[in-house]
Amino acid sequence: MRIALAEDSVLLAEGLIRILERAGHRVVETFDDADALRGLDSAAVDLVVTDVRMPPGHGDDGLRAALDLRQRRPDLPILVLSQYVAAAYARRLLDSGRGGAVGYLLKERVGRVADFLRAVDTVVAGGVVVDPEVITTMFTGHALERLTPRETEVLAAMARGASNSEIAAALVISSAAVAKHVANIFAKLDLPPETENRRVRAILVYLSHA
Amino acid sequence: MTSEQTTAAVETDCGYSSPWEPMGRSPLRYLTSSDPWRALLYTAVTLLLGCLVFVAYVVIVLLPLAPAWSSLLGRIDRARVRLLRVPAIADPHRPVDESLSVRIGVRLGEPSTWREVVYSLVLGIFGPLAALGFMILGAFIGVFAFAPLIAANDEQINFWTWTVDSVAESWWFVPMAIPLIVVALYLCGVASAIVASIASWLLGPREEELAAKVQALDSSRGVLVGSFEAERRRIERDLHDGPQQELVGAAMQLGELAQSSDDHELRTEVEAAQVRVERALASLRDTVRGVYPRVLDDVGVEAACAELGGPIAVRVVPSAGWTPGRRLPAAVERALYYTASEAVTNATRHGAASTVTIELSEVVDVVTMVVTDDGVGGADLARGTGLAGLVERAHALGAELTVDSPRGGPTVLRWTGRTDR
Repeated sequence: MRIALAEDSVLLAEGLIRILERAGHRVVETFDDADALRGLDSAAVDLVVTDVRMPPGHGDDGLRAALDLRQRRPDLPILVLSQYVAAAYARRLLDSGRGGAVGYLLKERVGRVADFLRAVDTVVAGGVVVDPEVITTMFTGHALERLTPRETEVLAAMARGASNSEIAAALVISSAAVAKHVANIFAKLDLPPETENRRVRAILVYLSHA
Repeated sequence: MTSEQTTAAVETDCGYSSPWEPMGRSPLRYLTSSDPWRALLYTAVTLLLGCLVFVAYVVIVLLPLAPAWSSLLGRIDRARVRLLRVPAIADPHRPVDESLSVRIGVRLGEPSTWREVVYSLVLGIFGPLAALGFMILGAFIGVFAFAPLIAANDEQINFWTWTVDSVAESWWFVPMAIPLIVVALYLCGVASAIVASIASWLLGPREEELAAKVQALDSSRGVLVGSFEAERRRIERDLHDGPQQELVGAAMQLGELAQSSDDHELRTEVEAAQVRVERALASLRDTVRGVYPRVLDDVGVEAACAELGGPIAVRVVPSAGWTPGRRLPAAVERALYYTASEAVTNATRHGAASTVTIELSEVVDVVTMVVTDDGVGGADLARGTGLAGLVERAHALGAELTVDSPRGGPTVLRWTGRTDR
């Protein structure tokens, strides 16, 4: 696939290019500046991989540039590599577009080459990848401990990819009861109704703590 | 209380607020205390200095340097009043840490320098005149007190129309020396009080100088906080651009190495090395965040506080008037963040807390942050240098930080300040 890479450290950019190209991807554009990234023709790429901290401001310029690209093309897959365990950045990324086709990973995860390449594929396929360490801070405070055993069971089933009716069948309860449990789970995990992708987020919490 | 504090307290107990105060007491108390002798010594030094200044002014060469030596004289005399058991006179000069030429320029521009010159003139006139007076008085006392001795030497003593020429007669003079000594001691007291009053009037700070001093102190405190801030930023940037990048690069290289090798044993070794690098990066990240939180600059205080968790749960609750994503002046954001950060650290380390709640509210330009933990309490402002520093920091912003931490908990920190300054 065609990838645009924004990373101002030459050392890391070269390493990333090597790893991606060895896996058969093509890095078609590279940027070392967030303003340049904004000018990217997003139709020409299948994925944008970007750093958070970039010139010119050396703040969250890279992330903001990626979010600008997202405004123009909401389904553009974006994978953010960061040195920060910052829930605020990840949350902004998840809130952009429709919550899909985004990834937020700590930079050193690239070292786990197979995992990293899987994350790339997931994001391009429209999925969500969030670094486990970031998730821990995103959903602060042992939220899972507040769940009842039944709610935990329901959440575990959700994490296996089961739909509400499948869960009802598996746990031998009514669909209405499942819906009630799910609503309780969302409430206890601090996921109000306006949150995007509530189901995915709840599952992420479960997976990161289980 | 340390011994040093004890002495200081004792000294203040028998000190005076004005040099006139001791003479207002009953004569018996005054004359039996050390005060007249202190006044005598003070006056003697005054006369000596006065004569020196007189010589300096008469010898015209020293005149152009008057501000310099008057300034030295001022410094001596501000401290010298302590001999009379009154507090030293405060220095009205602004502190200057520049080169000598700059310092001279600043000093010449200060009115207090010229008041010192006036003081030296007063002393130069007063010294010789008073010295003359005291010499005459001293001569009288000497003649009266030692009259028998003089008479024994066959000298004649003439006092008005009274001529004394026998030793027996001369003994009448001796008791007359006593009231003269009393008068002389009171005169010394008056003379020293006059000089000390003039000194505090001319050498002490004027109101506007005090105000300027307070302002200079305030701004130097601001500069100090600012330079710490700049230093923190620099360290954070250095860590980010240096060791962090290198370690990430190493993790990447190790990953590539593990990929390209088929040797199972080697791969296990490399993966172990990778785990170590990741651990190093994780602890480096914690350090970097403690030094300077980037998220604070990029997203604001609410998001930065939310990330303080780590080992314990931190909940940030927006309350009355607080809009999500609200940005405040940078100095306020930093003060709030470091306060919250210190509170979380203390709650974890000393308070054995498991949850910290940070409540943010804003009502009519007044922002309030209340940090509550469920720990054991007993936090003491006097012991924790961290908290004391944060109180200072709050004050520098015109804000207030209070800590309420009864034994058994909970510990509640409350930061209140205006957002429009």
